[in-house]
Amino acid sequence: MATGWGEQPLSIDDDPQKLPPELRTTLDGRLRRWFFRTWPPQQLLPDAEPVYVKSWLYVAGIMTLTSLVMLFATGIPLAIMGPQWWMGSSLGGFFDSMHYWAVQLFFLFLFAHFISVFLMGAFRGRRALTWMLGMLAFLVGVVTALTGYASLQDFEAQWITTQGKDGINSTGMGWFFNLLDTSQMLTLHVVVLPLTALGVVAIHLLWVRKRGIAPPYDALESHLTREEGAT
Amino acid sequence: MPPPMPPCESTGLIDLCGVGAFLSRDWFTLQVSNLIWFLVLLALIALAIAIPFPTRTTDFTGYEQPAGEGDGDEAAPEATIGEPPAALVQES
Repeated sequence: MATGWGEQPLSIDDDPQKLPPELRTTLDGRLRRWFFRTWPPQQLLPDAEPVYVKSWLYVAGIMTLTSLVMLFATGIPLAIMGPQWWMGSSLGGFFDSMHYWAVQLFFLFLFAHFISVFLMGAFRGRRALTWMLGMLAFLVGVVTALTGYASLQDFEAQWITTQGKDGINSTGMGWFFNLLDTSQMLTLHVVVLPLTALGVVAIHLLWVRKRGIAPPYDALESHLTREEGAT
Repeated sequence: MPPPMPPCESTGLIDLCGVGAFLSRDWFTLQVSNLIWFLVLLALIALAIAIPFPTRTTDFTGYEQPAGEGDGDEAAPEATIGEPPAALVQES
């Protein structure tokens, strides 16, 4: 029977003691119970956020995520069609430009997000892991961007890679990270690093939902209660 | 000083001289694009602080802010989508 808003709180009856003894400690069962204990559905996908989130500063994070979606949406056609397409046709050039501008916006909003959450002290309240995961996503993003520049296969890429290899060699990493190896750069850029970034960003978001949005320094005590729908 | 460049010759499809022209710019000219980037970033943050966020249509939270507190948009008219649960309504 359909009920009104908030009248029927979701509860999951998942008591292993009700199962036969041999089924109480299965790997899947333990994983499921851990996940829903850590991320109850209402906390994973809440209906509302606290009132202090009512600021454009909090939009920078979701704009970074939107830029990331744009990067995947434009990058996948580029990876499928190849360099002849993005350098030799107007449609390919359009996707190439969209990919380029999505990167510009990604790092612009990432820095806006980074600076604003730093100034608002978003690392407080057991949110250190959330912070470190965000920094890891930033570092993966930087390497992804570098390998992207090395994958362009035009004269700009040639310039960047020949200059950049000296920098990489000076760190001692040149023995396996070779900017002049186009196939290595391209594979890192279209497979390894995007999947890594996706995973790190996903875990970052899970921890944001686990800990909730950090309250501002001057938040009133009455504003700090959890939202209805956020459990 | 940039290294001496060979005579610039370009036959058409790709402007090889463009790469050489990049070297001839001085350091400060190269930083202009970086400066613009940081100015855009600062403007973005300043605007995000300055521009009030649109008020929610209905505040289900019960966290009504007292008059005079906040960024001044509390007086915006609120449409009614549904009645908030009694447990969430704060007595003022």
